[in-house]
Amino acid sequence: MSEENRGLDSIVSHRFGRARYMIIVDVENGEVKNIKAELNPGGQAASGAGIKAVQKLVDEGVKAVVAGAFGPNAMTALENMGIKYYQLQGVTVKEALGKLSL
Amino acid sequence: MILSVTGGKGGTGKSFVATNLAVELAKKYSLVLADLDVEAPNDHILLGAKLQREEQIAIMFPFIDYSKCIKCGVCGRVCDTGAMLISREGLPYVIPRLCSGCSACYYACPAKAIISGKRVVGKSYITPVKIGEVNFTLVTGMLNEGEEHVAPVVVRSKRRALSLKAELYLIDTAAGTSNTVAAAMDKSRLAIAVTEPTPLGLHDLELILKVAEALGIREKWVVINKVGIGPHDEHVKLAEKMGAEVVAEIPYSRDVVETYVVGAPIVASKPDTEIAATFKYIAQRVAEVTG
Amino acid sequence: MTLEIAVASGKGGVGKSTLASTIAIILSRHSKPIIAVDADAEAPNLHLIFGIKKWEVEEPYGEAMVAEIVQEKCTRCGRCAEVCPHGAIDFIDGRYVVNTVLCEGCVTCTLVCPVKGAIIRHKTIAGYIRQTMTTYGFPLISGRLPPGRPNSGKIVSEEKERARAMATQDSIIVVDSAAGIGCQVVSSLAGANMAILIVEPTPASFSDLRRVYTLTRHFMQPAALVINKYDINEDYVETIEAFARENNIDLLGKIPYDDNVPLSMAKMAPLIELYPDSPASKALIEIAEKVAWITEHWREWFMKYRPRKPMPYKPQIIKPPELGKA
Repeated sequence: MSEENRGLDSIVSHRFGRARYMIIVDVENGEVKNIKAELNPGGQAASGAGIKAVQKLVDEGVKAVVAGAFGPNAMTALENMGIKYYQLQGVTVKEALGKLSL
Repeated sequence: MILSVTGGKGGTGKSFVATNLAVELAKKYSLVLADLDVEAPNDHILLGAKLQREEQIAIMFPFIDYSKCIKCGVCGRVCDTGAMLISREGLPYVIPRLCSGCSACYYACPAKAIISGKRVVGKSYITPVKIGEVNFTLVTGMLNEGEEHVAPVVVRSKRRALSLKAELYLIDTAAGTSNTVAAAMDKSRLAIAVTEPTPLGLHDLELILKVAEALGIREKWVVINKVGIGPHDEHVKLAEKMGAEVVAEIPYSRDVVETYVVGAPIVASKPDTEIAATFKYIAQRVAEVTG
Repeated sequence: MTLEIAVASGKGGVGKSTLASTIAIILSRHSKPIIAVDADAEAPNLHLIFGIKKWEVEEPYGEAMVAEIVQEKCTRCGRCAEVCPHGAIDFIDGRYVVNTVLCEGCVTCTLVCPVKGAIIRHKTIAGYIRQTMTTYGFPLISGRLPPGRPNSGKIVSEEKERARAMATQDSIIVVDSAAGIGCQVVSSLAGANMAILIVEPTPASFSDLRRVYTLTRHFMQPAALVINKYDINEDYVETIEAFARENNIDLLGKIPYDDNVPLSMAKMAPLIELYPDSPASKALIEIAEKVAWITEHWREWFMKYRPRKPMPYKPQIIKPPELGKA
């Protein structure tokens, strides 16, 4: 999750539900491919932001997500939808992928 | 007749006033005291009573019959709280904590694939209270820890209280000014707002009187508790401005603090004090309104 | 790392705001970047303690919906009133009317109404978020719900979001939660690194404390405890201390009953500024200094007080009998 759209140089957001963008990448055999940015529908949501974000991840077929903090509802939803979540912030998407050896 | 004791700010002495007033009024009337502070109910503690006749309060919980589900996703769209997630394959999945039990998904499903189950979110109790020669019934609503949906616990506990036969129903609301406090107060003939002589008390008094007004409650009274810890002329002015009568001023006293510790209402444990006399007076005034 | 500290109690009026404001002020005297969040949007108090006269930012937040029955189209079937989960539809003078104070704007009534367009939903403002700089050099984020409107805790989440967005690496966010244990308190506790609970030595307050403590266990948060007005019942204090020991809760300190506390509230200023030498002030300052120590030795403290056993929230679900047959 990120507040900006600068591809792999985007900085991971401190938040999940209301982060502005989802930077979505495919990782195959340690190689990063197919980078795209989607607006997070939770970003502008007055309510239920976390869940709207999770729904979007599900629709995009995402298997793992990185952000600085996840609300309890979002965590439950992610767990139930089988999406792994990792807490990291302030690093770039590239660095995060490296750190988590995803 | 229904009357409510409320206040807005926490800790002003709502439960203190409600329990003592209940004891006084129960001398003349058959009475039900409804403790609708479901997040932190205290009246039973102040009365030294052990809660009885527990009944579970459950809200609707949707079960999905996947054999009937046509994967249209309508349930996900009508869900107000976002509790209904739709998986990649179009299958709905409910997040229990978020579900408010509104049943929208149940009514919206074109395939009738949603079946109503239940989810327990709280409990209500009916406890007979005996203080000296005085008898009345205490109904307590309690939200289960970790649950977020306060409204159904308030509404159902209130219904249970009102289903009992009594001449007077005295409702002790929670602190705050939200719609669940409003739901507790709703349809009261009389609302008694308990405040304290601090700017915080004043600020919250205005809010709670606004709620009472929005609900169309005809008679609004103010009780200023803990008098002496600060000036209260602003509170009196505010009450007047908002069409509420200040019916009593209760001085701050260690006697009162002790009753919290001991679990016995002051009108019973210290009946000769001025404070006990004040409650007799308030009860008299209530009797005038009841007619 | 940014630390988030939530102050909660369960019972109202036991000193959350006094404690939270003291912690914020003392920590800021230690030159820590603080962000104060008033998470009680129904009866916000921190701005009164900090003597805030006006807000730098005050904006509407969130969209809520309220239903309305269009009387000309209504066939008076009463289905809406039957299904309304909030009891918000009344039958008055022969008509069905939505109680706009209780209506939470879910779509259920519109789904069962047999006449198209007989029930409509209006947008209404959910609440207001306000922000301003205090005279102590740190910002206060506060919220306000119009009286009688639903409080789902989302406004608290939004306030915390804003605080987190403003936070730097060393920031400490102090969250003064509301009374109770419902959604606004859940939102106040969620995501906090630690919870500081405050209790009075009365059975009522202790009962509420145990309930809010259960929430901290759901969130796997380390908890600390402050006993306020301890001298009104020293015997009961022992019971509470035993509870803290049994559950590995860090007992930060005890505050004596002090007449100056209500006096300082009446004057709308922090106790530690108006009456710095009063007994409660001294105790509060000592407690706040301990909190400062915790923030400086976070890892050490966290490892000692973090809950070992998870106690996750378990919903109590009852299956409908029809499913059982399948």
